[in-house]
Amino acid sequence: MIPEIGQFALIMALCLALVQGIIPITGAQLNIRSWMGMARPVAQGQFVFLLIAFACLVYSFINDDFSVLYTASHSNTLLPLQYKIAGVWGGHEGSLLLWATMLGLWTTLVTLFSKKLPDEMVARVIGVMGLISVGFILFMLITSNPFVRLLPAAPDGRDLNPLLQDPGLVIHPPMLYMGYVGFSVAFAFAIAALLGGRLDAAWARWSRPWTIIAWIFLTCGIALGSWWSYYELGWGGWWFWDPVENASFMPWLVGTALIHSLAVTEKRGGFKSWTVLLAIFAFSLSLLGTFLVRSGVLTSVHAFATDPERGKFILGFLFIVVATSLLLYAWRAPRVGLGGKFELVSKETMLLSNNVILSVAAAMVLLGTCYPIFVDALGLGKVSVGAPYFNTMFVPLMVPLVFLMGLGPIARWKKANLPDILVRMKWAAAVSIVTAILIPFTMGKWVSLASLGILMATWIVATAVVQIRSRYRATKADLPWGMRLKSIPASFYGMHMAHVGVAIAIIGVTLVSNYATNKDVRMAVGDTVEVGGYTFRFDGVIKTQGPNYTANRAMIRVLKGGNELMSLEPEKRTYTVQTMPMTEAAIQTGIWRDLYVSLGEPVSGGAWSVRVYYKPFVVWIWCGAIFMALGGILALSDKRYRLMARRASKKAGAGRDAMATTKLATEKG
Amino acid sequence: MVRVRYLVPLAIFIALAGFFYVGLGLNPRDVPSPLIDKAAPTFNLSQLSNPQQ
Repeated sequence: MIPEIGQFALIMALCLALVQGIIPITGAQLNIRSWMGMARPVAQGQFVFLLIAFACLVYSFINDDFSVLYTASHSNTLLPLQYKIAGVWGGHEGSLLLWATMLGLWTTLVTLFSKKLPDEMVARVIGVMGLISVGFILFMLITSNPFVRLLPAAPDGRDLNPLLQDPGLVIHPPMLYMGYVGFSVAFAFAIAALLGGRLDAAWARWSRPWTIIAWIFLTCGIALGSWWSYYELGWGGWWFWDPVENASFMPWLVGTALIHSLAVTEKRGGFKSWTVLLAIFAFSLSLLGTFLVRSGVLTSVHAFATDPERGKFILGFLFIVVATSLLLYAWRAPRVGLGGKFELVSKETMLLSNNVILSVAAAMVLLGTCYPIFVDALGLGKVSVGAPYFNTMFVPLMVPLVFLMGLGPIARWKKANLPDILVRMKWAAAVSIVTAILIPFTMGKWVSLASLGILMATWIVATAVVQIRSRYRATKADLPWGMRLKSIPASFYGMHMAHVGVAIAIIGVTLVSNYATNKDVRMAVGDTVEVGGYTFRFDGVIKTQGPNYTANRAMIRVLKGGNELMSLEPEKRTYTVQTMPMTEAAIQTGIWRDLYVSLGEPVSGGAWSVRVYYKPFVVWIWCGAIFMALGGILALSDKRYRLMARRASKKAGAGRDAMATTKLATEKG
Repeated sequence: MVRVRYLVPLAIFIALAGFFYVGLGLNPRDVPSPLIDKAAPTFNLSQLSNPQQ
């Protein structure tokens, strides 16, 4: 009965999504108030039904209802509860339901936090999101229904893929999907602006916080995925340039460009049609990611449910969404007009360069990811594109980007003075060059790429320090220092925090790529091996029993200078239902280095093969991502957004044109 | 009022979608062996029943 309720709720959600996608947009075009007014309640109703459907699927998982095909193929009575719940999105059908539910959540958030927006704008935004929702719910109901019954019911489930039975599954996909789906809000705002012909600074200001929130989620999602892939053996480490990883990285690159481009549109009214195009691309690349991951059109180490038949539907949907929006763009964008003029050396130029570099990087990733398809489709054979291509293309693009990151924030709008900026940055440059020369020596050996990475990272940090200092000096000198710091807008701190996050991530990537060491050894009880200045002693293997697996657990003691520091216990598990062997690495994380031990196969004489890694600074990669996300949160807390909301609520009823003028005035002030 | 340069993104996307459509019909896991139509390497082993030959 419960699955049928879920099924029915999905159908109801589809009906409401259709209403949500058609009536408010038509109302906005024909200027019918009551039709526009339907947008909010219908969208909220749709979300309620999606929640019901999602809850029904969770219920089937928790209660081991193996008469549901999806539950029977992705769960088992012995599966621990947290993985039963996470198992809901452990397969294709359920992850689509999660996607659709999150779209409902984002739409509902838009309905709640859009009180200050003009009615027809809200109607169009929510309408566009409704149309996207129609596509996804139809996709589920036609090709991938999670509520299909299995009669007679299976006595027990086939269990969740052991690779996915990990805390990573509980949190990584929801974060990533929040990011993907979040870009649909920026997309909907862009389409609404094109439909209404209203592409102005106010539009940029409305869509900016939504874009930043989605970007924060995507940043966290990618970082979590990278971390999961780091500790899960066989997934190629913290970054592998795998198609599935690239699928999440492309929207991130374009989303990052979008955030910067929106700043220009908001502050200077420039880059309008470019900003719209980026908003369309960011979401299109999210959809493209879904297509690449789900259709099996590419091979990947972590594509878990692929089906070319379903691929056709997603491709069709992708085609309709992207082609329609690009057609709309081609039709409406020429009327948009240009923003304020700017000189060759100005903040605008630097942000434009940032946009160009990030877009080229995204295009380069897209080309590398899809190149095997192009070659195969042209009948030219089979190729695979791997890390060497991506690294040689990506690293040179990042160098100018990072250089600009140090200059852009301090440059003036419209016309900047380059010699003046360079003079102000001389100390930052000197400090970063000296550090870049010295640090590689302290790591043991000189590597020029490592030096380059350190140069880039310290340049970002040093220029940020210089800029915060000069901003501080520009505040009122008679205030106490706490007040002076507080008078600097939060978005300024947020920007620098995110930039420093990039620096931290660069340090992690550079040092671990150049200074990591590892050894593959055969170890009998009492044997020792030395890696990275640590001694690892093998103290034997014991058999243990988990809830749904049996395991061999090795005891490895780590010594330094004769003192025992810790014991690491890597496992080799066999999951009982799918009889799949799994290697659980043991990792000791520290700020300066990770010790990483994995257990291989038993070899002759009671010995085991063991692999020991020493990975310096690896955790900095994810710390950097945390800084970027925190920077985004800081930027969101900027008081100008709250100020805008307060003014708008005071003026409520004073007519939307007056409101728009207020907002424009706020920007100039 | 459609200007040609604003159609460029659409054109690129349509080309891309065309490739994806063709790509769906292909199997990326089906990698042809480079050894097809090549002669087996010559080798020298003694017979199992008669180790002298």
